[in-house]
Amino acid sequence: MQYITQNRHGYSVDFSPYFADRIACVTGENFGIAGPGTLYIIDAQPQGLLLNKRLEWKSSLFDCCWSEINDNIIVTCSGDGSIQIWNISADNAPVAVMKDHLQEVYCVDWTKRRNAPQHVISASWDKDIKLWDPQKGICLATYSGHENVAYCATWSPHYLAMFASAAGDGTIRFWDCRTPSRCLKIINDGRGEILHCDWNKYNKDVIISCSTDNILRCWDLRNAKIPTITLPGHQYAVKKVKFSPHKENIVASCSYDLTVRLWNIALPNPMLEVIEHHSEFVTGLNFNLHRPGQIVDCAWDEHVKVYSPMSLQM
Amino acid sequence: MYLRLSEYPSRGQTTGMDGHFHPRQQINDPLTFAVSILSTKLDSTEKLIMAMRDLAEGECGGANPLMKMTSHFMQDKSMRQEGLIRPGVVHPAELERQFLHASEHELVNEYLRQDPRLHRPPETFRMEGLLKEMKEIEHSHQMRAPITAPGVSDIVATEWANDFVANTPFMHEQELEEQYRAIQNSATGDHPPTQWADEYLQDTEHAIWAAEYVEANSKNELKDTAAALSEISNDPKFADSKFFDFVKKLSTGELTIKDDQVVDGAAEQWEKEFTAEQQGAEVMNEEQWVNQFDEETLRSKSKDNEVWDNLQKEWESYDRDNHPEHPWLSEYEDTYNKEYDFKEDNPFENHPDPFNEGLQMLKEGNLSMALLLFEADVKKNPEHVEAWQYLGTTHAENEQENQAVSALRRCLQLEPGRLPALQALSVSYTNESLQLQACRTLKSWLYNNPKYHHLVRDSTQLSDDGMVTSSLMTREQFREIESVFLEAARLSPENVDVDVQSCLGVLYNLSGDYEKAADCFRVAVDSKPDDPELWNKLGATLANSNKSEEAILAYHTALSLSPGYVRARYNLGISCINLKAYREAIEHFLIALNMQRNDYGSTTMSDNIWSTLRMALSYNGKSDLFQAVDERDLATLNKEFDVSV
Repeated sequence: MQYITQNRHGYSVDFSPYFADRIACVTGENFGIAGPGTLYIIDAQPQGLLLNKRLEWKSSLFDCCWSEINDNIIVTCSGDGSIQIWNISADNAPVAVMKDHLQEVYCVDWTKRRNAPQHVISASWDKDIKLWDPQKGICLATYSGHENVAYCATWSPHYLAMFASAAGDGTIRFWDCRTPSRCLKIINDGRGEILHCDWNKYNKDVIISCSTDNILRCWDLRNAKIPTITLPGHQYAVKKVKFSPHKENIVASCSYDLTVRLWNIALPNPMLEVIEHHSEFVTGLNFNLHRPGQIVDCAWDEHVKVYSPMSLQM
Repeated sequence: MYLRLSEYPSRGQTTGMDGHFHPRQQINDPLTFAVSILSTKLDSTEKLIMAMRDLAEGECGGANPLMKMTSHFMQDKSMRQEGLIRPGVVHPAELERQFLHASEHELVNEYLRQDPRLHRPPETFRMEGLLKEMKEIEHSHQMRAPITAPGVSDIVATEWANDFVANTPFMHEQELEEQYRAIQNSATGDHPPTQWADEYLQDTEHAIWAAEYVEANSKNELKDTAAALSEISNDPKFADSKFFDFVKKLSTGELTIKDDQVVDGAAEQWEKEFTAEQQGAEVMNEEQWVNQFDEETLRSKSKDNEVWDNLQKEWESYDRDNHPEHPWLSEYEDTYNKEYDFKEDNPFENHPDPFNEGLQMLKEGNLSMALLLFEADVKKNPEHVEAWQYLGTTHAENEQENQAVSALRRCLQLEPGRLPALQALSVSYTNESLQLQACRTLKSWLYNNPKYHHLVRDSTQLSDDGMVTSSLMTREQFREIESVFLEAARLSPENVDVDVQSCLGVLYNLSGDYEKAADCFRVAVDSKPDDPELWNKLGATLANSNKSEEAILAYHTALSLSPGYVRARYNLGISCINLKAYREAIEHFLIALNMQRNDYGSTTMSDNIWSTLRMALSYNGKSDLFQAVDERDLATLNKEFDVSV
């Protein structure tokens, strides 16, 4: 199943945690280099992917994340350095815009717990990570330390108040959001820029990162001097990496080499499948939380695709 | 004295393990080489987007566009060094040399000449902290060269970045600098450059001028970067790529970016229409937002502290029991400067002569018992230099570097010129990638050796003053100490001094000259074939230069001489991993762990071995045994792999 984001180049996709068939996709015109951005809400129907809603922002949108507590709320971030909160059941304008970053905001993440303060973190090219209260529309804290642009910030699904950030300085940093002054731990990979990282959903100490040196690396926080597993195979920089929400060892990654790859990190030959169905860089990727084995991805070829790879059907 | 100098598989495997990538083929294979460059360039699409967005938007957040632009390109430069050159040439000393002395041209040539993966540094030269040090170096570079006006080096860097891949006509640093200065003089009158630098950001007029200058410049840079990118987009994969097409148009000027719009080079009219249309569009702009939310935001902001307090409370209120604390945080501490950490409940505390008993245990190859005995001894006699020394060397032999460093440092505090301790400490520092410290310790060894004392002319900086700010060894420092050691070796050409050869071998490991290092150790084992430590060092050095098969032979010799040599066993296991013999690797690690265990608890087992074992298990598809590893359940693992205790 596919949907075409006419004249808009995809940057990120996310499945709704509430509706098995609802997808949000953020895009920008001109490959995100200049011009406006669009948030698409797309529903998977028997006849294909159908547009539910289209929301416009003046600047390219780089990332999106659904709220955990309200099925209509979604947060996005954009090239003008701002963060938008949208209520898709209401107007065509965001219900809140928060601005504190000095440069493009590349990643946002809504806390993954329902039983925790509902906060959002963001990573920006201004090298900082920020913590936001989306209800009040204010920035609560800033986490500085990365020595190059920050590409990713993601809440731990296990540790309270903790999140990880990945950046162009080749490090992953771990923070307790209550102590902005001090980074808890640094993994220094140093073999390229780390473009994305994701926590394992079953093992609280495992995180996976992907880098411009084309390689995925799995880290165990208890002994993070060396990666526990490295996954070579992509031919160019790897843009996103995600752990499966359903199987501990399953990982999906997408890359500048136009492919999406699926991995089982527990196997001696971990690469399960190479999916090459895009004609431009694949930029966004996510697992469906409700339908095990289903994936959505988006690319600069204006296609959003939902599919169930062979290797995940067991 | 037990050079690990090893080859954690993590580094090896990225190239050697899966067969996709054969490091040595790279330099001979232009296609692979081109691809490797392209991949670097591709990660700079990220940068390209940044640069282009910047031009498009002008002000996103108030930073001076000049600074933003140059910072992007600075990142671009440092990124290459991190992302491309670093994994290969990466020798820290080399890096520093590049920063301090190399012209950009040299850099490019150097890169092209050298296969980045040929001299892959071993994991022992960990890159932790290198980034910080690079910053410091950059900083010190600026301090040393105040004449360079800000911006010049940045532009040079950009120039270099472009040149690097595109081979566009190269402008020499000097020329560029002159050109820059000429303009600068005309703009600033007679101010000396340094002063100009100070004024540079404050003086609006200059800032505007500078911004204009660089902007004009950077538009070309953008074009160049885009040209570079499109030129190398020859991978058939991207033949139909609209993105590369887009980039190509930007590079030819067919498209340009103006006021956050991509415009046709000739379509001014269209642009205007488009802008008008945009204004009419239903895009809610930020100002409206700000107004709408002003009230609440203001209210909240005035209570910033209160908000923060509430935040803390809010988080605290969540059930702690369901949220584990971070157990690995304790790892986060200064491991090198700390006092020696004694094990609790030492069963030998009341032993009448723990030192000699320890030596006996050492002879029998029971390292963990020896450790407890030596500890008991130094606890009783804190001034017992020799016991501290043996404690340190035994820890190293037992693959426990931090403890080894603490003990050896204590030993040297008591007797600064103690040669065996200096030699051992230099190896431990090398393993922990503390180059500068290792280098100084080696020099101190020579200085304190009566045979070679006269060779050391410059006796400053001999003391091991703990953690100096940097652990990088400069090329000069290396050359200096290398020449002194070579001189020492030449003093008695017939009568080989094994220690000098061994130190020289360590030194070449520091500098990444593994061939030379291996030669030194070969000479050493020829003269002293019954020394297991020398065989282990030879093995580790061979492994570092990707000769795992030869390394295994050397490790086996070491183990036949000293079956209880845990470090050699561990190294052997790692070489097995590199040769994909996972099952054998696992067995070696288990044997090592069993040796480390003693009858008085398992406190001398080393985490290094456990974590490498875990990795080997995962390669072997035995992740079901992870739990046993995490619980340090040796019995289960022994049973699984038929390792008899």
